[in-house]
Parts: sequence; C-alpha cells; structure tokens
Amino acid sequence: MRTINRCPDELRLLAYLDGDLGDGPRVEIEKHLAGCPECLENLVIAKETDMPTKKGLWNGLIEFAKKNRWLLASGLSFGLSFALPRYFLQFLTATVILSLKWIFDSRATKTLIMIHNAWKERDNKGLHRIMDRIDIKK
Amino acid sequence: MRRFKPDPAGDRRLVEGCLRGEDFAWDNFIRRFSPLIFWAAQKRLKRWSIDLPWDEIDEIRQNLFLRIYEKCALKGLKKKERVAVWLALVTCNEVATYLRKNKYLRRPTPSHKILYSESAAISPKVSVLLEDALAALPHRERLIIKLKFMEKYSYRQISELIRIPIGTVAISLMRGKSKLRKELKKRGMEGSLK
Ligand SMILES: [Zn+2]
Repeated sequence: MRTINRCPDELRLLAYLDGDLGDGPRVEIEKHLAGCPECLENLVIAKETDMPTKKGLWNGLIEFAKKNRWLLASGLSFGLSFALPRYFLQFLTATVILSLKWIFDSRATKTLIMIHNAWKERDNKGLHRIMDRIDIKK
Repeated sequence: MRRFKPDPAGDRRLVEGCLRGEDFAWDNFIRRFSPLIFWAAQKRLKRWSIDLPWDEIDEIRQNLFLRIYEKCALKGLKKKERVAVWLALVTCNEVATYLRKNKYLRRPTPSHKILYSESAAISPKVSVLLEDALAALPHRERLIIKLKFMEKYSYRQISELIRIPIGTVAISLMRGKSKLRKELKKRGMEGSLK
C-alpha cells in the first residue's frame, strides 16, 4: 500500500523481521532501514506487537540455570568442600575445573584470551583496546 | 496494549475464515484487530509528535479495513498467523498516507536528535550535520547506532533484529561510534557522544 521512495512494502518488512529473506534482499532492506527513519520506526512499532508472552519466573530461572550450569555446579562443589571437610581438596579441584569450564563456555572466553595475549606481549595498546571492549559490553 | 493478546493460531483461523467468506468472520476480524490498529496508529503519531483527534484516527482505521477488504490484501499474506505484525506495519503506512494527504506531514521528520541529548532540542542545522555525518558510515554501523541510541535497543534486541551475533553488534557499535566522532569533528562538531 506504499509506493513513495521505493520503501519496501509491509509484506517485505514482515519477511525481513521473520528472517525469511535471502542474504541479498536482506542487505537491501538493511541499507534502506539505515537511511529511512520512517521504515525503521514502523518496523520497531511492529516488533512491539510481536513481544512474546511474558515468561514465568520459573521458566526464567530454568533458562538461567541452563545457561550458567557450570557456574552453578562449581558453586555447589565449593559449598560441598566445606560441608564435607574430608573431601575438601577433591571438591576444591572440582570447583576449579568447573569454573574453568564455565569460563570457556561463556562469551567471556574471547576477552580473557585477549587479556592473556596482551599481558604476555606487554602490549599497552592492546590493553586499551580490551578496556574499550569491556566497557562497551556493559 | 492491554487489550490485545497474541494468538497466532486463532489469528490464522480468523484470516482463513475471512478468505472463505464465512459468516461473521470479517466482523470478528475487525473486532479483534481494532485495538491493535488504534495502538499502532497512536504510536506512529507520537513519534512524529502529531496529535490527531479521535475521530480522525477512527477514520484511518475504517479506511484501512475497507482497503484490505477491497484489495483482498489478506490473500497476499502467506503467513496468516503473522497477521497482527503485518497489520501494525500497514497501519503505520496508512497513518503516513493520511497525514501526507491532509498536509499534516511535509517530509519525514528527522528523529535523530535523541542521538545527541534527549531533552535539548537541537537546531535543524545541527540535525542536518548529524544526518550527514551518519550517512558517511557503512549502512550496518549506521543502523546499529540508530537502534542503540534512538530506539534504546539492547545488544540482544539488535542482534535478534539484524540476526548477527551479540559480539558483532558490540564491535560494530564501537567502530561506528568512533567513525561518527571523526565525521563530526570533520564537520566542526565536538559534541559528546554517549
Ligand atoms: Zn522507507
């Protein structure tokens, strides 16, 4: 229903939103959205109608637990090391292994590796780059 | 939008009923989606800071249903369960058409003033400069900057919309911001970009 400025029509924007377009057409729409505030705002409004029904607290907890299962396991193991002093060292080792697992599973990995490399090379510029990177993640 | 609950399966049945010309299907369609259309129309108007009297918004709503009916527009909708999102987009365009026809709207209003500071209104000159500086950026960085600073989207929301990893969003944003700063300097503006 819209013809001005060769703006994509509603069906096309919907296809974009749903990820139904090939790479070429996708980039075309992206270029258009970057330069056409009207279409971008329309898309943002339409996306608001699209909010999933609110997740229950329980589902949220399960999702969190799944995402951070290694962290939770390491916390549990840390607690157990005090609860069962006889196996203190064993549980402490498990804690370290599990938290390493968590670090390497999470998105923090890349940053950690970068910090390690920069530290090894005493690369100040690199460190600043990482600081930017950390800052921007907040 | 308190009165509109998402119901993809129900919406699909409703649209199919309309297409088959079932009794009352069209009435139900209008009843179901009118609140959504009012909501989307008001959102669209608010973003242009335009106040329309209620009866004019209702006129837009009626025109919209009439046009969908006359043009058999529902036939073209492949994903019938997505009719609500599609209708929101159609509503936005219907509002724009109405405003242009009635001279409420001369040209798309630049809404990028929020990039600078939310409260202080910036002069048209500065806003042109800013748009000009933004135009020098690659399209993806420009899009991400607009989503982040104007729409207040989170990294996750941006990554879901553009369908790129969150890390890529963060890096593009960082690059985009530093490029924008350079472009603004070139144009003699030293504003602080959050
Ligand atoms: Zn457009």
